[in-house]
Amino acid sequence: MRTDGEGSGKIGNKSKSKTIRILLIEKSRSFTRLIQEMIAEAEATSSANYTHNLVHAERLSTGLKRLAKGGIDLILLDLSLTDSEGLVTLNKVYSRAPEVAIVVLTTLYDEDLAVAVLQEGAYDYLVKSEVDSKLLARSINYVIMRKRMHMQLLQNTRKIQSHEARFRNILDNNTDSIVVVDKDGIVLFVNPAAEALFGRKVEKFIGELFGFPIVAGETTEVEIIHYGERLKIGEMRMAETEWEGKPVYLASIRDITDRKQTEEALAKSKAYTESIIQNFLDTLIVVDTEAKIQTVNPATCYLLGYTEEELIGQPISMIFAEEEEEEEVHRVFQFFREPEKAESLRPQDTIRNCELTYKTKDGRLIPMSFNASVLTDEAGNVTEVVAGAKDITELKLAETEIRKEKRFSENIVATVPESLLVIDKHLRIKSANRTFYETFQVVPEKTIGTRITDILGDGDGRLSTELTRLFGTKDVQEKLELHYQSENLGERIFNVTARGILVEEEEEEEEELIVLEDITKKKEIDRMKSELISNVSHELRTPISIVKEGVSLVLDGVLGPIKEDQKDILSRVKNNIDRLARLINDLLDISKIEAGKMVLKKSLVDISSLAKEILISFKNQAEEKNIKLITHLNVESPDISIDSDRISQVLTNLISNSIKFTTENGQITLGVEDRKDKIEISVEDTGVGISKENIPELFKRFSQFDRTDGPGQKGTGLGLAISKEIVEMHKGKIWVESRPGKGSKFTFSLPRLSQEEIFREYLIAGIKEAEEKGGSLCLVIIHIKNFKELEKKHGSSESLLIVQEIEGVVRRTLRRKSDIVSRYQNGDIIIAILMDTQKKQAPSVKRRIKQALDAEIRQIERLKDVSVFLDEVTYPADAASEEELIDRIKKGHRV
Amino acid sequence: MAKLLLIEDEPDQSKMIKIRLETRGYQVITAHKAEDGIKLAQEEKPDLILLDIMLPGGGGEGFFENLKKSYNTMLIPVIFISAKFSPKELEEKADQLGAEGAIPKPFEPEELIAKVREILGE
Repeated sequence: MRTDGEGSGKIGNKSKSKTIRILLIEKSRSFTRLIQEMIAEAEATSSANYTHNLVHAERLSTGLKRLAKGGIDLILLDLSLTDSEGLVTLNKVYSRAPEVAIVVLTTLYDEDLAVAVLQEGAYDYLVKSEVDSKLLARSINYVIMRKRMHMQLLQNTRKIQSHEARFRNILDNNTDSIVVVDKDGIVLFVNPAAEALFGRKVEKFIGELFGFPIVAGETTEVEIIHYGERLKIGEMRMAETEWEGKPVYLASIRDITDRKQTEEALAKSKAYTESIIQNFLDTLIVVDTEAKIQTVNPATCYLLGYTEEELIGQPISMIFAEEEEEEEVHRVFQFFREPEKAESLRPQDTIRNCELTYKTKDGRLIPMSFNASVLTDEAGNVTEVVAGAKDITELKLAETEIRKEKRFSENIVATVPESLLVIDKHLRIKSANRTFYETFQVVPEKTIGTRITDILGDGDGRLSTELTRLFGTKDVQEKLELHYQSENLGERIFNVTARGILVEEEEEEEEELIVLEDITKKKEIDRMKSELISNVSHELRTPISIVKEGVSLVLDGVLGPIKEDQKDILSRVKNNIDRLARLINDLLDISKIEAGKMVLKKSLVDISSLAKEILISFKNQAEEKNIKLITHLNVESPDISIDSDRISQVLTNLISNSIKFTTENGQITLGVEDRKDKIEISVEDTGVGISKENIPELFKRFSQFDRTDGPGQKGTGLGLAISKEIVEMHKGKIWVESRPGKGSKFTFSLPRLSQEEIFREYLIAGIKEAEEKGGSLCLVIIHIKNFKELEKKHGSSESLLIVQEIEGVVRRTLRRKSDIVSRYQNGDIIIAILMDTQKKQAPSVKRRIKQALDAEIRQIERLKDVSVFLDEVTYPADAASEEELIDRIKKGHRV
Repeated sequence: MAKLLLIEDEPDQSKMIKIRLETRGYQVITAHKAEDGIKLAQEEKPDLILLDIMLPGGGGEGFFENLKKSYNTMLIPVIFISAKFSPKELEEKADQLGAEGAIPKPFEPEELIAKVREILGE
C-alpha cells in the first residue's frame, strides 16, 4: 500500500476482482495511518472483497477538489475537519458527489447523529474508537454493494423512464388516437390525436369515464360524438398493458369517418349506376376480353328482341348487321369481329357517335348511333368494352324530311323570277339567290359581305335609310323604286320590297329579306299606255277640230252666204261632229280609268255651290222643255275634299240624262243631304223612269235603251259607267231608284274624310309626284300656338272661323294653283304643301306667309289674339317618308 | 288692228283659224315650225301669239321658253292651243308655264274669238 497526500497506491498484490478507490478526508494523521493499516490487514486476511486504493485529504476543500477529479468509489469522512464541522460537512460532500458512497467517521457515538447522518445520505456510520479492520472491511463491502445496487436500481428506473418517455412520444405523435384507461374505465392518458378526434381537451378527459365498453383484443367500430362537428366513426382496438406500473387498457382508435363516407358514397354510386343501367333507354352491352357479351341492360333485350340468356355469352358481332367493308376498320370493331386476331385495345380506342345498323332477332335492321369505351384495371390491362347505342330511326326520318324541305325551299328560292337577298344590319349581303346573280351579273365572291348599296346604288341615300329603319321591326317596306344603271344592263327599274326578320334567339343577328322585282318592262308598258292614250286623243281630236272649224266657217257665213237647206244639213253635220268629240272624250276617260291612269285632283270644295252651279248651267235646256229646276240643299258644312272637275262631270251626266228623259212640264230636283260621315247628292226627275230589268245593266258600258229622239244631246252610252267609276274612285257609291212612268232618282254618296285623311291624301299625292319627277316637296307648317285658349275664350264655332281666316290668308299668299293648303287634325295646325319646291326655296315662302299673317293678325279684329309659329320641312331632305313628315309636323307642335 | 302670230303645224287647221280670225278683222301671220316662229315673232312683233304647244319634236315648249327668255318677245301674250290635253290639263299647263291663256281643240269658234279679245283687252 502506498499512500501520499493526493496519490493513490495499490495495496497488496492479491488478485482481486475489483479495486475500489477510497477517499479519506480526515484531519488526524494518526487515524489516517490507522485506517491504512486496517485496510492492509483486511486485504491480507481476505475479509475485504476488493483491493483498495486509498487517497487522503486533510481538509474538506482538498477532498472536494479530489472528488471533482472523479474516480472515487467511497468516501470515508470525518465530520470534524479544520474547514468544516459537523453535519454540514456531509451535506457539502454529498451534494458534490451524490453518486459516491459516504461512510461517516466520528469520535463519539451519538444516536441522533447516526440517524441524521444516514438520513442525509451516508451509507454507514463508524465510531472511530470501535473500528477495526474487520469492521471497516465489512462496512466498506457493504457500502459498496449497497451503492452498486442503488446505482443499478437508478439505472433501471431511468431506463424504464426513458422507455416510458419514448413510449409517450410515440403515443403523442401517433395519428391514431390513444386513450389509456384504468381497470375501472377512468381515463389516465390521451394523446393529441385523441383530443382532436373527440374534440375534447386533455384536461376534460383525464379522470373522466371513458364511456366505451372495454373489450380487450377485439376490433370494434364505435360512434364518437365529436364536440363541435358531426358524428365520427372510429375503429377501436384495445389491449391490456402496464402504465406507470399499473395494469391498464390501451385503446387505439382510428378515425374512419372519411373511409366510411367513401364506402357509403361508393355503395350509393354503385346503386345509382346500377339503376341507370337498368333504366337506360338506350342499349348498353358490356363485352369481355373475348368479345363475348357479358352484361346487357333491359333496353337492349327489348330493342333486339332477345332474352338476356340468349345474349349473354354470345359474340357481340351477332347483333351487328352486315356492313360494307371499309378500308379503315376501327380497332374496336376489329376486336368484335375477330377477338383473337385483333390488336390489343387501348383505353383511348373510344368510339363516339358512329352510325351503324343493329340486327334484331327477327332480322329487322335498326339504325343506331353507337359509342364504345374500353375499360382497364389499374395495371392497364383491358378488362371490358362497354358499348352504348341509341336507336336513331326517328332521327333519320326527321333528317330526311328536313332535307326534303330544304331542297324544296332552295328550289323555290332558286327559281323565283325575283332576286332575293338577305342582308345584315350593316346592310351587307349575307346570301343571294341565283336570279340575283344572273340579273346583276355578279359572282358570289364579289357579293357576299359587300354592302347592298355598293352593288345597287343608293338612290340619294333613300335605300339605306329605309333599309336601316326596318331592322328590329316586322315592318315591310314596299314599292321602293330603285333606278339601277350599269354597263351590262343599261337602265333598269326595280321594285324593292324589304322585310325585317325578327330574331328568335339572342345570338341570332337581325336580318332583312330584300326582294327585287324587275319592273322595267312593266313601267315601260305603263308609260306606253299613257302615251298611247294621250297620243290617240291628240290624233283623234286634231282632225275633228279641223272638220268642226271648217264646217263652222261655212255655217257662219264667213265664206259667203248659204241657203237654208245648206244651213240645215251643215248644222246636222256640226252636231254629229260634236257627238263624235264627246264620244272620243268619254272613250279616253274610260281608257284612262281602266289603265289606272285617272288621277283625282282633290281640293276642298263647297259641294252645294258646285251642284247648284251645274244645275243652273242647264237652265236654258230645261226652259226649252218647260222643266222646273228645284234645289234642296241641306248641308251645314258643305266643304268636302273632292276632284271638282270630275264630280262636275258626274253631276253634268246625271242632270243631262234627267233632262233628256223628262218630258215637257216635268221637274228635276237636286238634293244635297248631310249624312254625317258622308254627303249624298241626288238628281230626281219626273221622267220616263227605268224598268227593273234594265237597272242592273244601267251603269255598264254602252248601255242605251228606251231611246227616243228628242232635244238634247245624244248620249255616248258611257256616261253612267264613267260616273260610277268617278264616284267609286272617291270611295263613294252611286245607285238609282226608279219607277217606270213615274221618274228616276239617281243618288251618289261622297265620304267625308277626316281632316287628317284629307291631309294624308294630299301628302301622299305630293310625295308621289315628287318621287316621279325626282324632285322634292316642301311643307310650311303654321302652328296656332294658343289654339286651346282661343277655343275656350271664343267658343268652337268662332275658332273655326279663325282657322278658316288663316287658311285663307295662307292660300292667298301662295302663288301657284298647284300648291295646297290643308288643315291637319284639329285646326291648330295648318299646312301649306308646296309641290315641286326645293328645300332652299322654302324659307322665303315661309317668310312671305309669316309677313302676311302678321299683317292680317294686326288688322283683323277676329285674329287679334292669335299667336302663330312657323316651321318648314322638306321631303326627302328632312324626312324620307310620309310617316317622318307627319312626325315632324307633330313634333314641331310641341316645341 | 291687232296683229296675231299663229304657230300651228297642221296646214288645214292653220288655214281655218286664219280665215276665222281675219273675218273678225285681225291680221294673222302664220308659221308652221318653231324656228320660223321665233324669227317672225322677233321681226313682226305681234300683239298676241297663238301657239300649238304640241308642235312635232317638242318644239312647242321650247319655242315658248325661247320666247319668254328673249327681251323683245317676252312680253308678247301667248295662248296655248292643243288637241292633246284635256281642257283642264291644258289650262294647268298654261298656268304652270306662264302662258296667258289656253284653248283646247276642238273648240267653238266663239271660244277662240272670246279668248283672243280677252287677252288683248278688247
